[in-house]
Parts: sequence; C-alpha cells; structure tokens
Amino acid sequence: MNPSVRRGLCLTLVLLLLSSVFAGCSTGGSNSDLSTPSTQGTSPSSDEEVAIEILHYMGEQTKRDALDQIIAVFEEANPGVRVDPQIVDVGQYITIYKTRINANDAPDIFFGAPRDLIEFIEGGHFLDISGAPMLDRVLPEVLDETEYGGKLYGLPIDVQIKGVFYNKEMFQERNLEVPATRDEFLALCEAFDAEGILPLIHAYNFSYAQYQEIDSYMVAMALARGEEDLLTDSQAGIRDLAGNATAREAMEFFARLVSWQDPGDLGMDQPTAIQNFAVGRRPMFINGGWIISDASAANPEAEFGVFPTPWSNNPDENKLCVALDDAFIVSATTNHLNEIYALFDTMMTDECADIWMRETRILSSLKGASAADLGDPFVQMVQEIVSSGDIAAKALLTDYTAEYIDAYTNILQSYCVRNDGDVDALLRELDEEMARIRQ
Amino acid sequence: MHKRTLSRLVDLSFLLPVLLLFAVVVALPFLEGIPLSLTNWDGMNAGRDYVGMKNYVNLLSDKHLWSAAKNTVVFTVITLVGSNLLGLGVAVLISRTGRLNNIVRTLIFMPFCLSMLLQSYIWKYIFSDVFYGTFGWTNPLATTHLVMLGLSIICIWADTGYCMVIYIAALQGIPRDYYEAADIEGCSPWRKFTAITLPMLAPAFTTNITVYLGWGMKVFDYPMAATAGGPGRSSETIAMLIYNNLFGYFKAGYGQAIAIVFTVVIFLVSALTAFLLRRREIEL
Repeated sequence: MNPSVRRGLCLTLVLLLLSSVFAGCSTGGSNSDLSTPSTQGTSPSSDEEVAIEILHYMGEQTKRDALDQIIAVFEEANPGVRVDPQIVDVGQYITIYKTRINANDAPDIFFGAPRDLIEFIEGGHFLDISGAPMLDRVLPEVLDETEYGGKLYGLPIDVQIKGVFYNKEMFQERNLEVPATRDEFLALCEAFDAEGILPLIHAYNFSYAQYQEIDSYMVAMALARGEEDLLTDSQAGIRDLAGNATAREAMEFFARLVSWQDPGDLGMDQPTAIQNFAVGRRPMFINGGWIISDASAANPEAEFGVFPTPWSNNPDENKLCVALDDAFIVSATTNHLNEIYALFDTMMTDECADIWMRETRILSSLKGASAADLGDPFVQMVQEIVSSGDIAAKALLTDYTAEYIDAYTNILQSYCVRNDGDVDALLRELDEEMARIRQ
Repeated sequence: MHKRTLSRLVDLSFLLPVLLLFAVVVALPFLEGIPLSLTNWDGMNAGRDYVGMKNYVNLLSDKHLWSAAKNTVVFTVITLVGSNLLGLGVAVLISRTGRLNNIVRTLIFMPFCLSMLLQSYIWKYIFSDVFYGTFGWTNPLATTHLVMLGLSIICIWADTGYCMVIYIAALQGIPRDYYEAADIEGCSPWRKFTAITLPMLAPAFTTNITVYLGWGMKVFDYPMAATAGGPGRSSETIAMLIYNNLFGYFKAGYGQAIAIVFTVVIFLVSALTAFLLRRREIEL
C-alpha cells in the first residue's frame, strides 16, 4: 500500500476512535440527566406498571424463599405492581447502598438495621415512616430498634433471638439438663470437655461470630446492671471500657467461652459451623435464631433447643436476647410510597406471617401471629418466651456504629487468635482503638 | 511542514486515544481527588468541611496504615519472587514444544484463568478442610503471623502460569547458535544458563517484575475474598484500607488522602523499578 494512503487510512481510524470516545462521554452526560433524583410522592399513572426494587442481603435461602412467596401474595392482590428483590453480599451492602445513592439510583427499599446505618438517616436518605398504619401491628420489642431521633425508619419482619442453641439428643444421651446459672453452664461445658467433646462451636472465621456470642448475654447483663449506654459511651469517649465493671464481666465471660476452642475454629465460616452443629460435632452454638432453618435443613432428624446464655448465677437475670434481625427501610427518593406501604401492609398479615415462620422458622414480628398451628416446636418455644416478657430487648442497648463496630469485631477476632485470657489487654486495646477513631 | 515532523505527529496521534482514556479514567479522578482529600467528606452526604492537611498528618500516626503497608510489601515481595522463580523454573523445564509439555503448560496456566474470588475460595477450603481438617496442619489464613504467606500461596499458585508463558516466549526467542557455540567451548549447563539464558531473558524479567510489583502493591481481591482482612486486621492491605475508609468507615476524605499518597508511591516505585531494569537490560 502507498505510504501516504496508509497514513491517511490510519489517521481516519484514529479520528473514528477518538470520536467514539467522545460519543461515550456524551452518552454518559445524558444518562446522568436522566438519573436525577425523583421527587417523592409523584406516583405514575394507573396504567403504568410500577416496579418496586428491594435491595437486601438475606443470605439464607429459606428467607429468600419466604420473601418470594410474600411478594407473590402481594403481586396477586395488587396487579400492576411488581416487586424486584435484589440480593447483595452482606459484607458489601453499605458500599453498594452508598454507591447507588451517589449515582442517584437508590432502590425503593433498603434492608438493614436502621441504627447501624445512622449516617444514612442523618444524610436524609431513609424515609421516616413513623405514621405508617401497619406499624401498629408490629411487636414493640423489635419496632423500637428501628427508632432513631424519635422517628421510625423500618419495618421489621421478624423477631430474632440470641442465645445458646443446643442439640437436644446430645443432652438427652448424657442426661444433661439445660443450665439455669453461670456455674451450671460452665460445669456443663467442662463435662463435655472431659469427654473430649468441645462444648461450643465457633464460626470464628466470620468476624461477627464473636460479636453474636457476646451480644447473646451482654444485653441482659447491661440491662441488669443499668448500663444501657455502655457502648454508646465508649464510642463517644464518655467512659472507657477498662474501668467499667460490666464490660470487664462481659469480656471475662467471653474469654471463658473462647477458651473452649479448636485451632480450626479460626478458619471456620458460619455455614460450615452450622453444618457441624447440625450433625452433632459439638453440642452448643451461641448465635442467633437464623441458624436454625439451615441446621434443620442439614439434619432434618435433629432436634434443637435454645436457652438464654447464662452469664449470671441469678437465674432471673439470664434472659434471652430478643433483637431486630433486619428491617425493610424506605428510600427517601422513592416514587412509590403508596405501593410500598401496601407491600408492608401485606407483610403484616396473618397469611404472610405464617409464610415467614413456616419457611424461616423465625418468629414473625406481627403482633398476635400464632406459631401454634405451624407444628414447629422451636418457633412455638420462642413465641412463648417472647410472650412471657422474660426477655432482654436489644433495642435498649445501642451498638457501636461504622468504623467503631468494625474495630470492635476485629479486636474480638484478634483476641480469639491470641486466646490468652488477658482481659485487661483486650479492654485496653478496645479503648485505645475507639480513641484513635474519634480523633 | 517538514516530512519528518509530520511523520512524528502522525505517530503521536496513535497515542491520543490511550492518553485520552488515561486522562479520563486515571488522571482526572486523581486530580479531582486531591481537593476531596483536604476535607472530612463522609463519601455520601453533601456536607464537607475543609480540614487542610489534617488527613495527611493523621496518616503518619495511623498504625493501621503502617500495618497495611507492611502486609502489602510482604505480599508483593513473596509473590513477586515466588511467581517468578517458579514460572522461570517451569518455563526452563517445559520450554520445548511437545504434546506433554503443552498439556503441562495448560494445566499450570489454568488457575490464572479463574477469577481471583474463585481462587480464594478454593484455597480457603483447601487450607481449612484439607490442611487442617485432614492433615492437622496449621491453617495459615487463620493465624495472624502466617496469613500473608497463605494469601501469597494462593497468588503464586494462580499467577505462576502467567510468568511461565512470558518466560517460555522469551526462551524460545533465544537463538540456538549461542548454545551451540557454548557447547563447542565446553560450557556446563549451569554456565550456559547464567551466561546465555538469564541475560537473554532480561526483557522478560523487566516485564514480569514490573507487572507483579504493580499487582502486588494494589492487591485487594485475595484478602477481601479469603480473609476479609482478618484475623482481626492482620491481612488488611493498603487497597483494603482505602476501600474501608471510603465506604464502610464513612471517612472518604481520609481514604482519599491515603489513595493519593499510595498512587504516588506506586508510580514512583514502578517507574524506578522499570528504569533500573531497563538500564540493566542495556548493560547485559
């Protein structure tokens, strides 16, 4: 080919390439115009199909199945409204929420614990739904946990419990009773240990496993000691943990739990721990009620029970921790508030409460929802405990947030690696890290 | 216009699309990030205050930054040395074309084709269920002092194939005459390797070392997928630290300050390494 022709051809190609780059930039500009946040309350006309997007991180298959069934009930009753549930990774949900908000592409419904997301509330990204009529039908023990600054920011769909889950068969084989006090519990653990069976299973590869172990008794402990502001004071720098008797007591008990540990536990993630618990590798698992559906799926023959983590020698102080698992949170930029309220209303019906309890084996947050007809002794037992009022509501002990909660879980995980029983060092490390973050 | 100047301009025009992309995707965000790094922006909400150099000053006393920097350097050094040594060794063994060699090459290269996420999950299982579960060996990902070694093993397993391919291509480009002349001179195999093979592989070393240096220093996927930075924060790398500050910790201004410093450091280290290696190529 003639060199000048070749050069001309090359130049033309380069120009074409350049123009495509600019074309790309131009398209981006028009897209950003389209994604301008919408004004709340401007519902589409009735002949348009409305799509409600839910962004959630429910990892358990049973929960996702239950949500799908509830959506089906809602869509059947509300033709023209479609609900699109989108799942995101539980470890990345904050990142994804922020990215979607920054891109002016917020979903209609977020998912999470509002008090863990106060930056979003303070930024005005979540809608105050205090006046929503269906909230009257939600159990106050969990609804209170969606409160921030006197406003309500979410619809809890279920009631979670945290405590010691145990394999009934392993207890019955050894004629062991459910412990009511700290000493009885420790003796029970020693008895299993003497048999060569570690009493507790620990999913310590998952950084929130340690958090759940502590949370299962710390709420009751803090309430019994009048230390409801224990963690918020620590975060704000009002009081340190090292000088706090309740924090010390909590960590000393935690250190005792950690001591029954196999080195492999540090590499064990939660699904593996649930499987191992289900097949009876170890008799007890301190965690939340969400493990039960997966444990039952792994071993349908097994029977599981739960008791409050016995941190005290006074049986009356050992209360089952009742907590909001997560709630559906309305985006401040949604166009479909009426449809969302209709969906929430459907969620808070007996039919959907039954679906939720049957599929997930977790108690519904609907007041008066009865687990009696489900034939599930576990859910029934939880309902009896919650109805008795002999519980410690997590709503009363506010958690650390953002970097503070990350630091807390990381330091607890590091302690599990050390497993040296040095509670002083653990408390000091927590205080120093909280102070560093505050700077 | 002078014909030669015109020719140069035409040549330069071929770089324009790439330069433009670089400007839009790298340079502009970097420059836009500088003012953000001087604020206390949380990464999401509108309000932000100018805090001057506070974020940069805080960097110096942030123990997690130094810990993350140490982890990043350890990972970079182990993977750079490990992948290159193994890649070179395998390349020397199977550089000749043959059916068996082709199969071995394919097998060794295969892990490189998997996503980093999958690579991490495979090894997470191997370390916990095979290493510890079957043999009772320590799971490196579950110990604070071995976790970076564990992550490096995953990376070396995955990336050795890439190194191998570069080295095989370079080995096949070395003229056979040199080895024949060395045979006539009675050189030992080791002498031939050090006097002919290694110097002739200098451009391949430049490529592999520079690439692995860059990959190692910005490593994010392996620790994120395999350990989430744990146990504790013992496998947190600089890239993860930036990510955590930008998103999870709502400290976008501070995260941006780390990112700015980190980008400059990567640029300097990569440029210096490439410069030194290229100079060494000329000397050889």
